[in-house]
Parts: sequence; C-alpha cells; structure tokens
Amino acid sequence: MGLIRLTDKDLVHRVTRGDHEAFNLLVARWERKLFNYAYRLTGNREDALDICQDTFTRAYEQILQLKEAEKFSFWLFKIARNFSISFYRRERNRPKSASADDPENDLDLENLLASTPRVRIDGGHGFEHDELRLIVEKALDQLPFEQRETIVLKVFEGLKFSEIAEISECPVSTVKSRLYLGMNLLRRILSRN
Amino acid sequence: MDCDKSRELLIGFIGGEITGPEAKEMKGHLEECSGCREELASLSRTRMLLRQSWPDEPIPQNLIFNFPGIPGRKFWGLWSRFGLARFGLATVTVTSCLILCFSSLALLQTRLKVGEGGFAVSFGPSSRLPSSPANRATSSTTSLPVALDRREVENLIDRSVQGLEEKQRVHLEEILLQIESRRNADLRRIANELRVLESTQSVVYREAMNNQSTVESLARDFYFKVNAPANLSH
Repeated sequence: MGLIRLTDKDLVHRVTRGDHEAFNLLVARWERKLFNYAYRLTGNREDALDICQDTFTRAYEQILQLKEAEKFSFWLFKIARNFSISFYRRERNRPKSASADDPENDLDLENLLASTPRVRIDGGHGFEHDELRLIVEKALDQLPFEQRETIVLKVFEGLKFSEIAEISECPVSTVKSRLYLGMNLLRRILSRN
Repeated sequence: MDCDKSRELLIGFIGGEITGPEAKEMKGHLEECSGCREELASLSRTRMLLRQSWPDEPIPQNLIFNFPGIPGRKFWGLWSRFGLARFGLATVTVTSCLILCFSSLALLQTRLKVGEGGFAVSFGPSSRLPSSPANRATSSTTSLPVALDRREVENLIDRSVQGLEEKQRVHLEEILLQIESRRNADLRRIANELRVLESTQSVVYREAMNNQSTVESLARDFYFKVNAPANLSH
C-alpha cells in the first residue's frame, strides 16, 4: 500500500517508528491548510511561513506525546495557534515604528468604520478582488484574536464547532458566541452601517 | 421561539450545523420576525464575501524536513544512519569487554592449569613454591634461617650490599666499555669521512685546473684565429 493512501493515524505511527518520509507526507498533506490558517491569523505571508515551519518542527519533536494519532490535524492546528498567539502578542507589544504616523496604523473601530470604503455585502461593491481582499484583511485585523481565529476556522477552514472548541480549548458555546460576535463586528465594519 | 433562541440557531445555520427539527423551528420564527430574517441574510452575505475575497493560497515554498531522528530515539536515529560507525562502535564495545574481562582475571590472580583430563582455574596468590631443582636452589639461598642473631644478620646485609656493589661495578664497567667502543667507532667514521672529503676536494681541484687550462687554450686558439691574417700581412 502506498504511503499516499495511509491515514494520518497510520502515518503518525510510522513517524514514531522512525519513518521520516511519513512525516514529510504529513507535512505535504497539511502545509497548505496550516499556511492559510496562519496567514489569515497574521495577515503576513512570511510570518505565516515561519509559524508553519515552527509548527511542524514542534510537532516532530513532540510527536511521541501525541496520544490520539487520529487527531493529528487538530493537534497541529493547536500548536500553530499557540505560535500565532505568541506572534500576536509580540506584534501588539512592538513599539510603533516611524510609520506610526500613518493614520492607517492606529485605527480604532470608529476610525475604521469611518475610513473603510463602503462595501455592499450583497456583492455589488464594485471593488477589484485585491482591493476587496485588503479591506477584508484590514477588517479582520480589527477583531480580537479569539473572534478572528474562530471565523478563520469556521468560515475559511470549515471546521465543526466541536473541532474548533478542541483547538481553542474552550466550550462549544463559547465558540458559537465568538463566531456570532465576530461576524456581527465584521458586518458592521464592512458595511459601515 | 424568541429572538435569543433564534440567534443561537442562526449561528448554527451560518456554521452549517443545524438539525432538521431546529431548521423547521427557526423557519417558523423567521416567517414572523423580520429583524432575525434581515440578520440571517446579512450574516450569510458577510460569510460569502469573506470566502470570496480571501480564497486559499498555495504555500510559497514547500516545507521539507530532514530530521536526524525522533526525539527520544535520537541516538538510534543517528545509529541507523551510519552503518560504518555502527560497525566501529560494535568493535570498540567488544574490545572493551575483553579488556575488562582480562583485567578482572589479572586482578584476581587467576591461574589456568591445563591437564590431560581437562583444565582447572584457581584464584588468589599461589600457596606452593615452584618445584623445579633450580627454583629449589634459589629458594634455599634466599630463604632466611629460622633464627638469626645480630652478627649473622649484619653479615647477611654486608654480603648482599657487597653483592649489589659488585653488580653495580660490573655494570658500570660494561657501560664504560660500550661508551668507549662507540666513541672509537665514531672517531673512525669521522676520519673516514674526512679522508673521503679530502680526496674529493683534490679531485675537484684537479678538474678545476684542467678546466682552466682548457679554457686558456681555447682562448689562445680563438685569439690566434682572429689575429692571424693581420700577423700574416705584416
């Protein structure tokens, strides 16, 4: 049986027996998902790539501690989440550089609401795709980390509430609440109502 | 159903996780409540906008890892990578074990006696003296009498001191003879080398003289060849 047909669980067992190729296959299987998750959390490709690299390295180092091999992907996302939180805190505590004079850098919600171009969320906004992407990125950047993360995992990654709860280590009800609050905030930012 | 309950179901609907009975219940509420209806539509559009605006991207560079081994199995991971090192380590281990074994046997003063019917191993210092006649003679001269008075002991010491001094003197004479013979040999070798050098120098001198005379004769010949017509004309 080829490695490509093996489940995550089988591959994890192979890795624990010293099969490096099995781990590279796990990387190939999950790197894109993980990269996009980290990218949407950080808003920066290089940082996302760093988080990806660190996540897989940590996963490899601690793979013997993984009790339920079938939950490898959630475990991976959980590691990436921890790295993303560290990144988020580091960025937040970083002193403003010379470009801090730029009003775009210190937008609070009200400023953002005032400065963001009106986006008609019925699709008739008339923006180019890249432009719209930047607006969404900026809007996501204004959300608290937990809400942003929940939206990323639910809307973009399509995970179940229970799976998000496992990754975020909180009850399902909290996940739902975060999603509801985050979506409403995004809607307000995007539609400037 | 009130609006609070509707919101809870609404987020399940947005997340694509709502059961059939819940959907039926929510549908009933939405038909009556325009506020919740509008909220559902707005959240659905926001969700769609998000998905459209930021689709998945390919990873800029594939991540390839080349790990030496699983943590906790690092040693064996490296171990398996180097076959030659494995062989070397095995050899060193076996050699060390053998050295340890022999050292232990030596420390225990082990003796192995092989006979016709097999062999016997014993440990500790030997309880019997060697039984050969030579050894017996040696033992008779070196073993002390059972009871000795002071004079006999002094004589014994004097004899042994004299014996030692005699041995030292003989040894010293042998060393002096060796030094003398080596010195003479060195002098002879140096004299020979000097003779060879002298003859070589005389040969070189003779050759140099020959060369000089040859050069002079050639110079003379050249001079006469050049000046011959002039001399003849005179």
